[in-house]
Amino acid sequence: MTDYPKELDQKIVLGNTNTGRSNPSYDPEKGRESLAKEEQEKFDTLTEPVCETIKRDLLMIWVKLTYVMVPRTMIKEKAKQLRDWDLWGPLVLCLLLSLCLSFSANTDDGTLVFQIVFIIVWAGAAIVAINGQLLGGNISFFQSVCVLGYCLFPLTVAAFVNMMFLQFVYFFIRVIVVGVAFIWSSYSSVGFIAEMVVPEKKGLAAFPVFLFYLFLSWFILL
Amino acid sequence: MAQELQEMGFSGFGSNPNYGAIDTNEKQEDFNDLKINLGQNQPEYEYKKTEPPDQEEQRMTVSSNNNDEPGDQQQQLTQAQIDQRANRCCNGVHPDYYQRYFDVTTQDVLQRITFSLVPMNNKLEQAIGENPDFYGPFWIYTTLIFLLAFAENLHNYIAVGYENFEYDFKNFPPSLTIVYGIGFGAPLLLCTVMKYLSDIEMKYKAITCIYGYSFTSLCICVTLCAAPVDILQWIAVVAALAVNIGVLFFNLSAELNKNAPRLKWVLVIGICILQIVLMMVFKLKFLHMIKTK
Repeated sequence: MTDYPKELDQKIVLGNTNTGRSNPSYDPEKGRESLAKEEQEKFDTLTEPVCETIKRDLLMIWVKLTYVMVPRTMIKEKAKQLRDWDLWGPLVLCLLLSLCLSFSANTDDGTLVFQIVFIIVWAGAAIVAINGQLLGGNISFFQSVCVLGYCLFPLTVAAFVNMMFLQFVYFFIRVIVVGVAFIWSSYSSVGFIAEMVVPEKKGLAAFPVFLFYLFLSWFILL
Repeated sequence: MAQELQEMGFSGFGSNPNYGAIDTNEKQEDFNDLKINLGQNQPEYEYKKTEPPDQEEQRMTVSSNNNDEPGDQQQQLTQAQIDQRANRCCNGVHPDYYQRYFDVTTQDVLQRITFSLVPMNNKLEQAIGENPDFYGPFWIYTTLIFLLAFAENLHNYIAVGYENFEYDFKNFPPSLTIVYGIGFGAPLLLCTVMKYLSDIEMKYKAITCIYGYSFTSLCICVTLCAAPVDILQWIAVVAALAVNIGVLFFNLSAELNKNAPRLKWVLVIGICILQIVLMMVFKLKFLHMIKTK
């Protein structure tokens, strides 16, 4: 295992901001010394142990989650970090949400609820992303899906809390918990979505996001 | 054998060192006409731009009315982007192609929605003007589908309470098909009828736009139908139908009156029947009262 300097360590954790994702050009005759230091590190990922790779990916997910959880602070850095999209976080959150809802659903057919929530999350994220592009946004499709997926985190927490602790309390308390989660999710994601369209179309881009999270919140409530 | 072949003129193996290949003594200029034309002298193929020039200009003027600061994210296209879009193939798969149907601002959409709730005049048609959009119709239909599912389940939840409640999504695919089918198919039918039975020149986009915005009253009605009070449901249904048909009638009649007064009544009655049937399907199939257990 080669060790690499601290600033490269951070870049690897936070992901590079180059959205090209092309392989570094490696000229075998010139050797690895001719590559830039950053490109050398990409080659090292092939030789490092699997648990290091997994740890690094998990750390990347965690860092993005912390940026999403604290909305509206350091918005420029957030935008840069979330431009390097990944779909692991949204997948994990979507699965957790679907599992929580299917366990706590008061119906015989928990699998139906799981299916519906899973499909709604991905289809809804796709439709909202396409809507953003059609309105003239300058954010790519997968970046939108990534942002919407990560902003599911408050709703997942609400679903989990609902399942574990709140099954037998008043409806009113559940409404408050889910309402807070909905507002938090929407506030986080609207910050990103609004940056990508012209200010006059902010409402048009934000409305589908509200609808999407409202649908999921209603699932958690009922 | 070889000698006989040589007499016949066959150069054969060995006599000609090139084995029949091009004699390298010959000049290269003689073969210019045989060269494959690799694009240097090709005639220029120009793909026609997908939108007519007046629409392109209109779109750009709409964007420039927004008083954007220079340096903000602009909707106006640079010349390079216009050329790129004109010369690529398969324009239909790029989202850029459909951007001209979504060229509205939040203020425009809100204004159109308010006008679609006031049936007695044709302000909606004036507000739409030359810029019909698909954003309004599509999201109003989606909201309607969501509200139908929400209202139905809420209705059941209030009626039977927490212990006996079960999610009921049997009606979700039919409602999806019905709303999108009628929402985009009925204007198509209207457009075809108008085009082939009279001289009216109304475009599909404009009719879909008016039709879509007229569904806002149905959205409000469906939300109100979540309450388990029967009388309230029927009042909401009747009011919504009145507003819906009124909006459609007044906004389409300006165009209809111009060219086809007789056809107008046929169309109006057709639209009425369609909307009433739609509403009855929603009311009776989706939102019926459940007997409490």
